Amino acid sequence: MSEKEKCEKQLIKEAKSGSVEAFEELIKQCQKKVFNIAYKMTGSYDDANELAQEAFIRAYKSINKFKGDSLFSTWIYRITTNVCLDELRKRKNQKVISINEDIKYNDEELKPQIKDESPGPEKIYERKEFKSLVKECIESLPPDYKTVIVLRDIEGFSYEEIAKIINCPEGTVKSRINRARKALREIFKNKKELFNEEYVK
Amino acid sequence: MKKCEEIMELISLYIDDDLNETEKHQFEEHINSCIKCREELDLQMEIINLCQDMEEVELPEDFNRQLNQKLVEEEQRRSPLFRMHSKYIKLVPSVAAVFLLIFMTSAFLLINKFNMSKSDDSPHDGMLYVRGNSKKESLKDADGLPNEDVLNEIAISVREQDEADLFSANNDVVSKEEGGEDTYHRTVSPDIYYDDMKETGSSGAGMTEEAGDIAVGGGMSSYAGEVEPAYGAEASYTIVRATVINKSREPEYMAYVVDTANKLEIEFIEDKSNDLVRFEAEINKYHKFLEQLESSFTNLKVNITADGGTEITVEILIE
Repeated sequence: MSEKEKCEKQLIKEAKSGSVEAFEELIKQCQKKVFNIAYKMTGSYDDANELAQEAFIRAYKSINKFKGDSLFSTWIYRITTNVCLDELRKRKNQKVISINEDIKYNDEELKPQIKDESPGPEKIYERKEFKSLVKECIESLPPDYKTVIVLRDIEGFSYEEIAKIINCPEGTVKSRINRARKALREIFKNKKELFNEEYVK
Repeated sequence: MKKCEEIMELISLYIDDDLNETEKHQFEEHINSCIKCREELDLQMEIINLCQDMEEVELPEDFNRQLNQKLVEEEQRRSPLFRMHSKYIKLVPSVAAVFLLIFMTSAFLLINKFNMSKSDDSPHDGMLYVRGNSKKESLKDADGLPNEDVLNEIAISVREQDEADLFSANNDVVSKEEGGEDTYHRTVSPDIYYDDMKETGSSGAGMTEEAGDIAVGGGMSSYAGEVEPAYGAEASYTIVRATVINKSREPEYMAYVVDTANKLEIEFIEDKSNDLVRFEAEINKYHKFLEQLESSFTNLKVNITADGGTEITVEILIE
C-alpha cells in the first residue's frame, strides 16, 4: 500500500467520524473533475456549482456507506453523476426551457478569445462553432447517453471506470457508448449541414 | 468482408481500440474500401476530437468556502443525534413509549380506515403496499450487490383509491379564531412506516406485515408535538429510513424517522412550503413501488435521488 493510499484511508476514517477537515482534504483531488462533470452534464456554470456542492454534501452525509470497494474518487464521481441525473430528470418533469442560451453565454464569458491567427481565422471560427455545436448536440441527448459521452469522450474515463461510476457491467457501458455516439453523430450531422448552408451564405 | 451495418457497430470500439486483431483487420479492410463507412468513422473522430478539446472550467472562487459552510452545518445538524446515540441505553423506556405511541397511531389509523372502507383484505384499501423480502442475506448476491432475483420477486400490490379518499383522514381542520385568521391545523401525513419485525404492532392498519414491508397510507397523525425529538440509535439493518413531515402552522412542523424496527430516530424538520415525505431505501428494492406511487397519485410529486451507493433518498411532495 502506497503512502498516498494509507493517507487516504486515514482521512476516510477521520471523515467518517465527523471531521470536515479530513473530508475536505479527501475531495481536493477530485473537486475540479466533479465540477467539470456537472458542468458538462448541465451545460451551465451556475448549475454545476450547485450540483457539485450537492454531490459533496451527499458524499459527506453518506461517507459511512463508503466501504472502500472502489476508489474514493470513483465513488465521488458516481455520486456526482447521480446528482446530475436527478437534476436532469427533474428538469424533464418540470419542462424547464432549454439552457442552450446559457451555454453560449457562459462560453463567451469563460473562453478566452483566441488571438493567434496562424491556422487562419476562418478555420478557427469554424472549429469554435463546431465545438459549441457539439455541445448543443450533447445537450440534446437523453440523460443516459449524455452521461457516458461526458465520462468517456470529454472526461476520458476508461470503460472500466465508467462501469464502476454508473454501476453497470462493462458490456453495457460499451454498447451504451456505441449507441450514444451514434445518436450524437446523427444529431451533429444534421446540425452541421444546417450550419454549413448558412456559413456558405 | 463485413457488411456496412456490422462495421457501423464496431466504430465505437475501434476508436477506443477495443477490437481484437481479427476484428480490427476486418474493420480496416472495410473502411479502406468503403467511402460511406470511412465518412462515418471520420465524422465520429471529429466529434470525439471536439469533445476532448472542450475546455476544463475552473471552480468558482468561493466554492470551497461555500462548501465548508454547508459541511459544518451538516456536521452540527448531525451531532445532537450522535450525542443521543450514546445515551441510547438510558432511553429504553422512552423508546418503548414511542412504540406505544406508534401502536396507538396505527390503531387510530385503523379506525380511520375502518370508517372509510369495509375491506379487511390485505393490503388495505388506500394503502400502497410493498412486500419486501424479509431475509437480509438474500438481498445481496455474492458481490454484495442487490440480488436481482430477489428484487424481481418483490410483489407490489397497489390498490388505487380516490386520492381524496386516501388523504381524507387528514382533512384540514380549519377553525376560526375570534377576530383572527383561520387557524390551519393540517396534519396530512401519509404514514410511512417500516417494520423489520412483526411485533412492533403496526399491523393495526389491517395488513399482515412481514419484515421488510413498507407501507404508505393516509392517516391522521396524532403525535405532533407529543414526541420528544432525537432518539438516536444505530441501524443494524437500514433498508428504509422514513421521514414524514407534517404541514401545519400549528403545532410545529414535525418529522419523524423510523430507521429500523426497534431503533428510532426522531427529529424535527421544518418545511413550510410543502408536505413532504422522505425516506431512504435500497435502490432497486423500492424502485417499482415508487413508480407505482407516482402513477397512482397525481398529487404526489416524487423526487428520487440516488447517493451513488445502493440506497436512494425519496422525497414525496404532497401538492
